[in-house]
Amino acid sequence: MTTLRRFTCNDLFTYNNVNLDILTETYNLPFYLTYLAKWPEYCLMAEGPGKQAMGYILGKAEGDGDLWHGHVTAVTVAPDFRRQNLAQKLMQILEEISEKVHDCFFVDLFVRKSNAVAINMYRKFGYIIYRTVVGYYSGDEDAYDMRKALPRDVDKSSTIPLKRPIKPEELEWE
Amino acid sequence: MSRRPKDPDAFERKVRPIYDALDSRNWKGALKLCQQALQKYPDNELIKVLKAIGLERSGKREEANQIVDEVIAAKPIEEQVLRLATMVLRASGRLSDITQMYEAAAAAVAPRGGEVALILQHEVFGAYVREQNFVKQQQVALRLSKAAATVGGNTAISSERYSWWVVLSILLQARAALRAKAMGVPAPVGQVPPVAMGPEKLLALAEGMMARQAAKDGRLEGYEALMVYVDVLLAQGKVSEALSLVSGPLGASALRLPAERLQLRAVLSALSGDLQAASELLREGLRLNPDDWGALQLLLDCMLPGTAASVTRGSPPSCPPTFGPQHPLVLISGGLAEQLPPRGVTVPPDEGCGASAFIEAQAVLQELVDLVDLEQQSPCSRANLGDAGSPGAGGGNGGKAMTMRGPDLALVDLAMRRHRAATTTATYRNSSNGSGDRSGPNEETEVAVIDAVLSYYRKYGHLVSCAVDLRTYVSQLGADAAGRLAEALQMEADKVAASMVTAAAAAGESDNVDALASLRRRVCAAQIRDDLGLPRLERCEEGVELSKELLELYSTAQPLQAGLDERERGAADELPVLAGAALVTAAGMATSDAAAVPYMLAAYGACADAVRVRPFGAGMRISLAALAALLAAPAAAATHMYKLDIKHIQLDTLGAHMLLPPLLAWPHSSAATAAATAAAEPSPTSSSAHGDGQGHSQHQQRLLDKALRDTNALFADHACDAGESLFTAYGHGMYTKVLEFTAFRERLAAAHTLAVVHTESGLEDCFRSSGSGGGGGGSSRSSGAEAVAAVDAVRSAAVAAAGRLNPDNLPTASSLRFNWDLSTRPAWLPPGQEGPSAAVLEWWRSRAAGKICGQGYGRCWWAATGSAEGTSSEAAQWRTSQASAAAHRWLLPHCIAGALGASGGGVLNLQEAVGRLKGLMGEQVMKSSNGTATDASEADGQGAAAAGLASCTTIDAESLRRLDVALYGAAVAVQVSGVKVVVMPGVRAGELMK
Repeated sequence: MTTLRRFTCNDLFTYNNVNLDILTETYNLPFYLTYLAKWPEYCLMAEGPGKQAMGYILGKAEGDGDLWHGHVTAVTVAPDFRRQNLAQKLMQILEEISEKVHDCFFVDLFVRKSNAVAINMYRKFGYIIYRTVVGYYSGDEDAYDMRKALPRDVDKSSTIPLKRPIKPEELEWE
Repeated sequence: MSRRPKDPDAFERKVRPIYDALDSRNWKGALKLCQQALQKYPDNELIKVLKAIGLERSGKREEANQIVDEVIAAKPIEEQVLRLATMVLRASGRLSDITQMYEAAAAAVAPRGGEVALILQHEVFGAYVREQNFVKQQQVALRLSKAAATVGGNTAISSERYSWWVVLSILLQARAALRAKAMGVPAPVGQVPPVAMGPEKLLALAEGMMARQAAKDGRLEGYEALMVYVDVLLAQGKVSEALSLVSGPLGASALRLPAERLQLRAVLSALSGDLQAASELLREGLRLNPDDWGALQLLLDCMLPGTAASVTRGSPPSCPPTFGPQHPLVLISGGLAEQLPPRGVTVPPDEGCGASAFIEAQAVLQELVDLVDLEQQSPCSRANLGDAGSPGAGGGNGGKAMTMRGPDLALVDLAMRRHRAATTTATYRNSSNGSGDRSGPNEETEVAVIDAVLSYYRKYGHLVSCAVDLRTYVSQLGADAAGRLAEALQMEADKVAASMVTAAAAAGESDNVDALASLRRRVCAAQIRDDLGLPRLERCEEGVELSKELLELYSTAQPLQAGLDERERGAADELPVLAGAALVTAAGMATSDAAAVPYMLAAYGACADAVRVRPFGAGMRISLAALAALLAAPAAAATHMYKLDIKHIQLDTLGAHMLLPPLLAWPHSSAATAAATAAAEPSPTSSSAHGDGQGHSQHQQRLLDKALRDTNALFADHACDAGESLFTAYGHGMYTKVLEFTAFRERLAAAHTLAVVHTESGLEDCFRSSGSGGGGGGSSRSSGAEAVAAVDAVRSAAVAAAGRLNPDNLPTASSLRFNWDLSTRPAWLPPGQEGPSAAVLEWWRSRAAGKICGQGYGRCWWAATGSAEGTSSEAAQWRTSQASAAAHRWLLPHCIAGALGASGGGVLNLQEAVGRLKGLMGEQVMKSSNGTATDASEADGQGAAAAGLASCTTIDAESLRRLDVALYGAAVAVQVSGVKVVVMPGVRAGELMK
């Protein structure tokens, strides 16, 4: 039972059941507020009975030309609400917004190379490993840049894997 | 004014490396490069402000400000120079200087006009946003919208968007006026119009501007513009106009997701009183997304209005009851409708709760349940039924559909509504026929709730969320029904367990998936039993037995989760927490504090054992932290909290009530800490701990300093940064976020935690100066001269602290915002009435009074989301007492300074300070425990102090506050009678204060 609505500042006071999970990062306030000030349509909270936070997704749209895409910055589900395919649901909405509201070519995300569970999950959602970013996580761990093409990318050229690993400074955007 | 470099390329070659050094946080290198560059370009403003940035970042704020002042004096107009100067000024909180700087620059280029003038005006607007000067904002925005229209389409921001800035500036003034009226205090300068213009007129003005803008363009800019428009209409009670707006072409132009528009129409129909239309729209939306809990709740409210949680019974009773249809979609945090909510919808005469209404609602929900069941069997089947791409739609993309428990839980909700309605009717019937008998709960409807809960459990008992889903419902059941439900659940769980044993024996091997599901059902049953407040433990031994039973079940989980990442949640992680709670209940029943300790250690042991396998289990860590706090092991408590990586906003929501209390309560514990810290795993926070008591004391001091400093920084940083986020929201046209961020800024500025860390930091400074805070004083007897020096140091610290704690801003329940996430506290850790400094002491007093029980989390008022600001009477009482405790501590530095002979410079007169301390205690202070008058200002010093001490024979938080009154009252008496203050050798000032 999920109410999907926009993420608000007040959620920061009540999202501890999600963020006390060690795999979920708690960012500083400017981080959240910048996302809300620029891409509120991409920041969604899944709320359960009693207004309890079940999980949320934060994302954005960025890039130029045929690299115009949706980006998943954070997607997380509280331990109490796992194994109900909620993360997939949140991803689907982000993809839908990327497609219908922003007319993007693809959606991408970064994931730790060691996080096999998450990588498999994204694979199931239709994402492929597009490239490796060496030392993306504070220089000590590589990231996979995973992508999924949207209908606008008719020939799916955005998801042809890049063979060469890249360095963080080679990324086209922050 | 800066001269342009003759050779721009050479200049660029000098400046680029400075930026690079700053980007890579190499402040020293950047400053060196600045120095070199200034030799070649001594008057260059850009290099100067870059140097100022380098100085500011390396902690030399004063020097940085000096340079910036020099640059500003030269009246710069270059955008980058102004921007960098702003960064330095902002970090120093010099917001009005930023405004003046931009005003001057804008005035200088105004005659030129064009885009440059526009850009600078734009920045002037931003400066007023930082200052929260809504009136000036409006004036600048008006100039901007006209100028942008003149400049043409080449501007970064359109004239249309600047017009919305005007609208928002007006709305913020209306909001400020409404808030000031509600709080009974004048609005801050610049927030309301200088000439009297009521909020109603401001709202009408804003609405007129929005209407004209929409008519001119024939459309609305988007979701944000539409939602602000709707909000303003709702605040004025124009619900049907809001509905027409959303339903009409403007709504269509602004809302690009059809499901969102449908939902909004449904909510507005409900608000307009057309419950039939609202129900139909909601049902249409639910067919596409049956799991939408907000829609399900609103649908039941519309179909059965008398059962809505928001029903307000009329006063006098002849007035018909009303209810407020609610849905998160229509509520804008910080919006105007939050200040002026639309009038409630009248509940029909039969309250819409006739038997047929319940039958109809049941049928509607059953239809949705069937739809979901069909979907879960075949995820793609519903894609053909409607808009599969709507936010609500599951399936698609070839993946699994989300588990949709909504309609099934709504059946439980419906049963509870029916039960509540039956109970209310029975009570009403009894009171109206004068029988006066309190009718017992309606048995038939209560049995129906139990059946609905069991049915939900059968379907979803294997899900981790099952008990959480059912929590609010099972917690409302009466004692008999609770017992019946617990029994039935036990039978269900045993049945599954028995079938598992048979199946495993037949298969010859254990099937992990099924075994895990079976285990989850048993864990869920245990959780629900706990939420029911069961079992009721009568003796300590029963608590021990229960904990054994739970831990035995927990041990069966281990073989099933081999290889599970340690960061993931384990299959039965709730159980050690429940076992710990059972042992704390035993501690609560123990005959003495000493007898309670072994049970608490056993609880600590149970959770400590579990975190060795699952080191990040939040429930277990929180239990451990709380137990360590109570057992005088503050560093261990902090270690457990930091293991959960709490930071940023969590220092407000969690740190203030989980981390600070032990550090404030036990500043010098050593032996117990050494043992308990060793028991907690080493972490960065404990790595520097020493084995000896002195080292621990210093370590704890550092932990307290860190906690206070980091928490303070959260608020201070936001005070600096909030304006930037707001300005970004304006720039991107995110109008609802402008309102929301404004409310958020106000909420943090008024945070109860902020008042707490302000006072505790001030008091810490006093204690440290006395030599008792950092272990620096040692335990040897000080000489008289040292004691006098200590008193001087304490006096200075107290004066400085008092200067920061303005007695005119004494915290009150209505002026504070309470952000603590109390739902993270176990049942056995009730939010206390005293502040963090006395919370631990207060717990032990509650224990002695037999008020500590570990079962029944679901029934605790603090278990609800956002309970600290909840509407329950317990929450209101908690807020009042917390504010009073914070105010008491707020006054202490004044008292200390006054008692040590300081006056003026922001220090409250001692007699008045003591009077205010007494005032905060209300009636309690007038009588001591033995009934002796302790009006300190009238009694002689010795007598008052003696009475205070007598009242502290059983030390509790209240007695401590009473002692403060007596102690400082004695100081007043001494000063009034002219007795010379003599500090006895060997008595440290810090000890006097404590």
